Amino acid sequence: MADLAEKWQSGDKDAFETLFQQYQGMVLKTARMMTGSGVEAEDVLQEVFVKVWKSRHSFNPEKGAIATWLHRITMNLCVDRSRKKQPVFVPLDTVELSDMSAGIPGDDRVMNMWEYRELMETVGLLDTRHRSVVVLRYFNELAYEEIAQVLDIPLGTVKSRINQALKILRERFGGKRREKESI
Amino acid sequence: MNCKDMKEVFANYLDGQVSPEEKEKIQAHLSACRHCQMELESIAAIQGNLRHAFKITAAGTIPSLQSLARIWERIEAEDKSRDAVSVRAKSRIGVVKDILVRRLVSPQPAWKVVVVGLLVVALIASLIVVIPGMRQSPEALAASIAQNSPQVRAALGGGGVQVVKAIINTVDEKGTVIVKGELGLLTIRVDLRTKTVVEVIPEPQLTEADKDRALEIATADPRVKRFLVEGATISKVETAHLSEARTNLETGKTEISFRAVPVVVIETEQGMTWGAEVDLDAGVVVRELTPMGFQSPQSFREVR
Repeated sequence: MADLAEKWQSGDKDAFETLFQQYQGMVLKTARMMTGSGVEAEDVLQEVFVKVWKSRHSFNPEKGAIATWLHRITMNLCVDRSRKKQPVFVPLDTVELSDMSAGIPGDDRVMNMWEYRELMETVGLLDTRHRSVVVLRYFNELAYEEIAQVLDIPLGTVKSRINQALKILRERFGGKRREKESI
Repeated sequence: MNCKDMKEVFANYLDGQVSPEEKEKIQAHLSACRHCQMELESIAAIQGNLRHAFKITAAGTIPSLQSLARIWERIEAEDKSRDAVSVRAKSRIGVVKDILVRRLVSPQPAWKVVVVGLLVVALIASLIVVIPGMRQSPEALAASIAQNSPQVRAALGGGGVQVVKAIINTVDEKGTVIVKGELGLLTIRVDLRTKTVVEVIPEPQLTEADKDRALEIATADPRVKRFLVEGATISKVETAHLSEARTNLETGKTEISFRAVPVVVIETEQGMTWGAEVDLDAGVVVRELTPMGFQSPQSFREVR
């Protein structure tokens, strides 16, 4: 990895492309969770790697792993986009039914597709500060310290944001489920 | 530690992000407080559901094969525009400097300076408009053409237009965008060169005969039969829309379209819902959907 990073930083296009192949899934999926749109996530992916190429000299391996640096760029771009957007909530993409039934290896939980959409829409309604910590923790499975490093915020702030975000989600999502049950 | 303090640490406790001392206090409180136990369980359920929902979304998020090529195109476009800006800026600075020098040495009429000033402002404004456009990916451009088309808005009932998927044909610079709105789904063909909507295709529908046939196929399926024997009932046949991408290997063109598939909905005596996706051509249940409550770990597969 050190070799690859060195080559990429010195302008080796093959090394950059290897790096892209290694991390494109992580960046694309994180952007998808943040933006709620496959099209926008693809655009963020491209923008992230344009930045990775152009800002390659600013990456300092002593300050953290490439993944952390990529997470930071991804989150910053997603938050910037969110700020520039008109204040209209755009619902999340639909997920094809085939995806719903694909099953997750090692996970025997099953989910109602309507509840799944409700939950993802509720995540989409969180403000970006709360959505960032939720995505980094429960999708990327980052430790709190890593989240603090990615978002450049104190550890205590990470803790409180995660607690607040889960409480908000529980209230909103629980409310929607109760509404549905009462119909 | 009281109930109010507990509310601030539920998620951190479940994530193992509390100190040993805090953990001890939390556990002591939990052993004596049923209310907080229930609160903790509800937060744990949300965490579990989030992880699961994210995994489902991730499984359906597949990188485009064209991403890398697009990235290099964007890098080159940005390099070119930066060089152009730099050259224009330098030349513009030169012009402004010349004007100022001339103005100082040989005063010009004030209107000339105003005109030059306006030209500079116009140049800067045009760069602001052009540069972000160059940064936009073709997929995002196709999506925005479809989203902003009055024809598409009208066809969807006049409300919001949500883009589900966009794919580009590099061969002819045309794209296909799937959009969703109040009145359902539409497939939109767009031309990236002219930035116009070329065609609006309504979502495919199942006929009543298709639904009857789906019902017939599902009720003959041994897995569905097992449910019915155990007291479940078939409540309805729903139409689901699956998107498909097809690439013509000769022309290199990729098209996406929606296909309507029947899903037979089964309600169990326990109040849970199952779905069986039917392939009308093959005459079989091809996929078992798992639209059940979170509480049950049972799956269709296990019931077989």
